[in-house]
Amino acid sequence: MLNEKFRILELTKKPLITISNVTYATNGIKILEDINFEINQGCYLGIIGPNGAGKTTLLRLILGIIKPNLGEIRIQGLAPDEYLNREPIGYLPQRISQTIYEMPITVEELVRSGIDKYSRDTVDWAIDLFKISSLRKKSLKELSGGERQKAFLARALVAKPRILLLDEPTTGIDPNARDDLLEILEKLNKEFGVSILVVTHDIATFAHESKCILCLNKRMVCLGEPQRILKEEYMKLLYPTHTVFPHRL
Amino acid sequence: MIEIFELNIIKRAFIVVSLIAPLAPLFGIFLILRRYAFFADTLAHVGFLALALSVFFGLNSLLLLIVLSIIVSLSVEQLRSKGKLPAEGSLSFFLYSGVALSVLFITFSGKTGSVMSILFGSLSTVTKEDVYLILIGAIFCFVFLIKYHKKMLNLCIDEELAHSSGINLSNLKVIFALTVAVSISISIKTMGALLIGSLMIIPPLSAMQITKSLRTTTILSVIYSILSSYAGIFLSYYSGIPLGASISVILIGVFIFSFILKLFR
Ligand SMILES: Nc1ncnc2c1ncn2[C@@H]1O[C@H](COP(=O)(O)OP(=O)(O)OP(=O)(O)O)[C@@H](O)[C@H]1O
Ligand SMILES: [Mg+2]
Repeated sequence: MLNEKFRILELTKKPLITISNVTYATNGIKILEDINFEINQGCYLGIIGPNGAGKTTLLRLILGIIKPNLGEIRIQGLAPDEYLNREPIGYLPQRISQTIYEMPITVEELVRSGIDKYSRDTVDWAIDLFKISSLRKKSLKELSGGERQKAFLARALVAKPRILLLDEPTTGIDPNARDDLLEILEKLNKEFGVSILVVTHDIATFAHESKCILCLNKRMVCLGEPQRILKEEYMKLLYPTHTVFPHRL
Repeated sequence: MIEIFELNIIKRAFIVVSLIAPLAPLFGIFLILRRYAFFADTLAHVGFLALALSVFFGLNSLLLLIVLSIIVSLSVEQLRSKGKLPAEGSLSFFLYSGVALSVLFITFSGKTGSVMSILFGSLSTVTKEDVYLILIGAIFCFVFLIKYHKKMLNLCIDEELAHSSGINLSNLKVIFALTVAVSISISIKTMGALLIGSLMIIPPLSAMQITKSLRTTTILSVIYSILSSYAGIFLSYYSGIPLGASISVILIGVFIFSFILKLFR
């Protein structure tokens, strides 16, 4: 009994993503510099930082879409491409290529495209999760911005990935849908041990939700528990001219 | 005697069309979604060169056609993925090279009469041996579609999403380029170098006007393509219009029909 418990504890402590000395530059301009951190399995990490800080770039590096100029990225000890060969990573991009909105493709077909082997139950589950079952036969180009976002969220979750990378998932969705999303993420994280990395500008919300916050501004500004990180002194480093927590003054 | 000979030609045309008519629009859908319709045209014009070369040297043209198309297709994909040349630009290069060299070889072969059927297709240029090659090529293409259609769909939706689903994009693009080359090669003698693109692009484009889902687009474009092609055989036989042109004329009719249908929905 005790032994069993110990194993679970050990399991959850395993490093999931290790980023060591990563620098990424395009056209001679450094976009990310000397990034170093490690996150464990079952983490719920919020990534914050001003526009152009390199948050999206960091996610694309983790996915292996782009390769670092210096340093190394490992997911469970594997290079990103090797990891992806074994299992998918759920990804919600910040921007989807516009061509898809010219395609005749329904919500259901989009969600289905996320799994190799079609299973009606799994597709239904992902669609119901975001309460878009009334839209399943609708074409993607007929959807509102928030509805599209939900469709792509369902697509990201349908393969039941163990790692979820979400780039500004709350953009464009209403407060109710946002609360639903946060609840879903919390459940996935707590009950199913899904590791979640969320890029967000919605700092106040994710301060409650995530277990850990990474502040990024070309370099790592700070990393730690929300209570420790989200103080004026750090926020001044990220957003010099803006008060993040006016109510605390 | 003549009647039996003509019956055989018609029969052969029906067999070949039954193989290529469902295939062409399926590839066309992916080409449209990837904004790569121009790719088909380029390969078709390279096909023009292959046919011109075979007229010049008197070889088995279809085999030459398949080999040459595959080479060009893979080189274009390579150039494109390495970002060495702009995609459109490298395609244009192969297109114009194909046309210019074709004209050169045909002029020297002294058989300028064959140009019409090379460019616009014909009922009678497909030989008995060709039918077997076309059958093998078609099976190859169908197997590709069955095996890779889901990955291709992901590629069309968004490359980064496809990547995160664990799809090896560079391999997939190469296999796709290769299979498109085969599918165009086996259709070119029937449809003609200038008009093969119409069989690939017009049926899905017509279907997309009135459909909402990929499923119905796929089914409808295959139906459009098969019906137009069968009708085209009769039109060509009775009117003497080259086969590719008569099929294309009917496809244009189908497009207008879909367009009007869309207006009244
Ligand atoms: N393909 C690219 N080529 C050149 N520069 C790029 C490219 N993509 C991003 N950048 C630059 O890299 C920097 C970081 O971009 P990134 O998209 O990672 O920012 P971000 O933190 O996600 O910002 P936002 O909050 O606006 O989404 C920006 O200054 C941007 O101009
Ligand atoms: Mg971003």
